[in-house]
Amino acid sequence: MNQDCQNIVNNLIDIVENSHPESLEKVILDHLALCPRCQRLVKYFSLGWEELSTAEKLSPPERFWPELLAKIQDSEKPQLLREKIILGLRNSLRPAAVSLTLLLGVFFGYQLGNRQHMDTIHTEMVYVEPYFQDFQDFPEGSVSDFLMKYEIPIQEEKP
Amino acid sequence: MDDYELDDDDLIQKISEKDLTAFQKLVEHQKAFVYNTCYNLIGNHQQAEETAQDVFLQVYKSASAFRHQSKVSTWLYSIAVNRSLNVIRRNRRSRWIKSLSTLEKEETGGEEPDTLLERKEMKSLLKSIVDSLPEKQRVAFILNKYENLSASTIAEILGISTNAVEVRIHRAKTNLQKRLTSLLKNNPEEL
Repeated sequence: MNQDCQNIVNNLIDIVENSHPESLEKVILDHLALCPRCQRLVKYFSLGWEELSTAEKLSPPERFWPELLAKIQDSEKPQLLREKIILGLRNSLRPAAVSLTLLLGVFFGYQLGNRQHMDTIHTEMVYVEPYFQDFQDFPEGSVSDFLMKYEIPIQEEKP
Repeated sequence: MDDYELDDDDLIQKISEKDLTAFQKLVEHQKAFVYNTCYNLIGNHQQAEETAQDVFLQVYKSASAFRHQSKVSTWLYSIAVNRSLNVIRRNRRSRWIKSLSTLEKEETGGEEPDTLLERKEMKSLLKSIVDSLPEKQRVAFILNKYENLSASTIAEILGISTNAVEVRIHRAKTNLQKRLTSLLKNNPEEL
């Protein structure tokens, strides 16, 4: 393909739409007058390009309307039934759902509150010996027993 | 049956009241152009038919929501384009293969066989190149070139500015030209 033919190829759409630069017009016309291959290319491309906008409009087949009508009827039936079911469920379950939500909230709130108290106790247990209900329950000889019996000397405050 | 002709706006008004006769009339008036729009975008007759039916189904259901601020045809185009784009995105097959597989046989009309073959080949080549464009450019180009819509109408359909439409059409043509050049360079026997 020589340079002149390449020019035609590079500007094919502009040529068929007549929107190519004026500076190229003479070059294009001169080449087309001499090159039968480019003439044919431009001719058939032009026809094909034109057909994009002028091609005969197709019509859908005869079954188009009956099928569409059937779709409309189908779409309306389940919708009525579905809506009825949803409405019925909503009306009957709404009070129960509200009550259940409240109860669940109370339950989880209580659990969260208890959990924090247990965490505090657990923390204390890390640093001391096991927690006893009664201070007299400490095993004899244990650190806790020693600490409980040890009397801290009281220092008198100087005036 | 009414003696006077109802325009599309009146038909939509009646359809919002679930008047099936008015709806049938609208379908008769507009089914060809909706079907062609869907086919030009999707490239498959079966899917185009189903999509066109879905377009009218949506019109039937949402006629009461139509504000009459634009033409009925613009509204129909808008629904058809959106529905078609949904179908295209769902399809996983190559557009190239689809466009080649949906070629229709043309009547000879008395043309020379060589000429007819070249015309058919050029048409299929153009269709396949158009089908390979990026989606936004392709839609703008098809509405402009196939449906002969102005940039302002396309802007209204797509919900973008007229300038944006013109840019997309220009880019589509630039891309088409690049692909043509590349194709013809790699297949010089086409010349």
